[in-house]
Amino acid sequence: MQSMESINAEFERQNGTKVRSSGASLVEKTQALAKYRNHFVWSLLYTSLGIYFGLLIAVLEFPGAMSLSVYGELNLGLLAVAVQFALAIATFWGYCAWAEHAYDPKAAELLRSAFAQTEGDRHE
Amino acid sequence: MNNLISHGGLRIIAFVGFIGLSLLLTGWSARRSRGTSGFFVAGRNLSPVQNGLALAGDFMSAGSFLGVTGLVSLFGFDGIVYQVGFIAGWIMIMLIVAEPVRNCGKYTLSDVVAIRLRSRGVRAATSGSSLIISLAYLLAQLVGAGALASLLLPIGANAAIVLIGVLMIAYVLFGGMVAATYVQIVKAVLVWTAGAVLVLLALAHFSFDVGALFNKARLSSLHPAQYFVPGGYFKDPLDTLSLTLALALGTAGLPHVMTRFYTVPSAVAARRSAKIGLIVMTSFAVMMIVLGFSATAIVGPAAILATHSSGNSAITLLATTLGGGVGSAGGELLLACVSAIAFATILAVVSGIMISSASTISHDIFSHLFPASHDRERRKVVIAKIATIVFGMAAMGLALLVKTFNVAFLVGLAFAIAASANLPVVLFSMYWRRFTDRGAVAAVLAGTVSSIGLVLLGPAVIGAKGIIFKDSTPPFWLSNPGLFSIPVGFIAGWIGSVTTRQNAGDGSFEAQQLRMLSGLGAEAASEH
Repeated sequence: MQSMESINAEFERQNGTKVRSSGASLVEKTQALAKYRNHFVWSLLYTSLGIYFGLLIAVLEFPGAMSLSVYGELNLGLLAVAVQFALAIATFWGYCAWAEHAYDPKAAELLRSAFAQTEGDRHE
Repeated sequence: MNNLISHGGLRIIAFVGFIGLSLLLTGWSARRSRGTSGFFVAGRNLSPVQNGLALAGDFMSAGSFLGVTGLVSLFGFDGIVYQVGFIAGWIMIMLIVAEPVRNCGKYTLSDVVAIRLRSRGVRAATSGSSLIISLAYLLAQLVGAGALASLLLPIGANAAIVLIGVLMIAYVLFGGMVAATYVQIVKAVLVWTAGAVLVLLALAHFSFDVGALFNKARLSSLHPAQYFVPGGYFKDPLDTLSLTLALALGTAGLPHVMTRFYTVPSAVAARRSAKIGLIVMTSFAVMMIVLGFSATAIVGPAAILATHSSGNSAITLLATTLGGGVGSAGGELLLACVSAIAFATILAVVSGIMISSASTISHDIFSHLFPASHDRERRKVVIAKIATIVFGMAAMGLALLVKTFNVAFLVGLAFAIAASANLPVVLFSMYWRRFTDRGAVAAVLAGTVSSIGLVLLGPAVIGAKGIIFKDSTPPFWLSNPGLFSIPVGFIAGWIGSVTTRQNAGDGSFEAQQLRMLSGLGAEAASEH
């Protein structure tokens, strides 16, 4: 495995020489994948935590309304808790499905590019 | 047989049985924990299922098994808030911490940050906050163990603290992370199974009519009109929000949780282990809620309160009743199993914290702040073992000193520091290009000092429900500081970074991103 020093050196070199002639550089590929992952993951996180804390604040702010019966002993408050549990599971299930189908192949491609580039540099 | 039952003999047998099993596991683990990587992170060879169970085990603490069930049984809805807060913490871990940390780190939380920020000040700050969190958490668990001893076993609080402390040290000393993990796995399986069996028995009591169980629970509770609505236990909504904020964000900054992601071979395995952990811990959380309601419905709040004012005995009383009542063979057998498992939960959790603390002391403090000229790897394990004995004994001694105080606030404090000091540093270092050494030190110091300071000034320490100045009004009105200390930590990290130009354009952020995303340069699993 490569040390962080050699990876750092590679990026410093690329920052100095900018884009290589053979298409997108490792820096650009890394930045593109980071943007791709961050866009999905942070959007999902904000949505999930937003719903979670939104429900929590609603429960704390309107305790009276939480006693409204939905079905039998199940009231709005208990329903909100059930939604919070389901939300955690659904969030992670959604993330895993996305990661396995969309993200992992791109990460593997980035790793191959990085290996190819460092091997190529060694032969130059 | 009757003599055995009446004197808690079955409980002693179950308890000794678990200790024997855990020591056998430790002996077996000793051969598998050789070398630095073997000792600190089980050689990174654990499977996702093993690590998932161990992660779930960290969540399934005595606090969840006994404390939350007790709160749910006595206060209904508000008891659930704890469980939901812990589960929400895993959203953050799963999405933005588990895989990046596995790819970027080596043994400790500080390693993740040190990939970009390599100054000794940053490592000293992050290792210091990690140790404070671990000590607070460890102390709360050990004092809790002492209090539980009188409930569960015919041994005193002092004996329980010393016994758990000695076993914790032994597990880590001889078996390292392998032993700590396998003890956690066995406990996770036992505690989940016990929960499932009790839920089935409780539901059978109501002919599997969940509505009837909930109805009986509400009608039997101390305040039927308030039982399924918020406000029974938490009186200040702002304090509740502050607590849940710390639980939801702090879990991702707990050093012993983060260390668990180093024990698997890859980031994908880290993700899979988090997935398994989430399934196990969510199902466990739901079962504990059902058991809390069942305890009120079947045992009744008066009987629970008569044994313990916080309701910690709810699940043991429920087990005894479901087994046939006090003095019956079935009742004593179930009580013995539940008691031994409750102790096992404490043992497993403290062992996980201990190995994480030993890694921090040895790897972060001695190896990086006081580096040796030769044989660094062997020295790390030796120092970690010495640290295990010294840190373990110190925690045990402190626990014996403060065992008469109500130190439950220490768990909240650990989560608050994790969310206010560790989380900003981990997130900024992984996701913000402009983050600097000064920003990291500022975030850790501000987050730690504000968390501890606000707790010291709050009602958990000062005032009628506190430890000192019981006639005074605390200067800070919230018991949980997260609502203020978490923004303080993040803002300090931001200000510290934007006021310096260090790290700009040196390629370190891109290099870290490449490693984080692709795994290039990530620590590999060791050969078997």
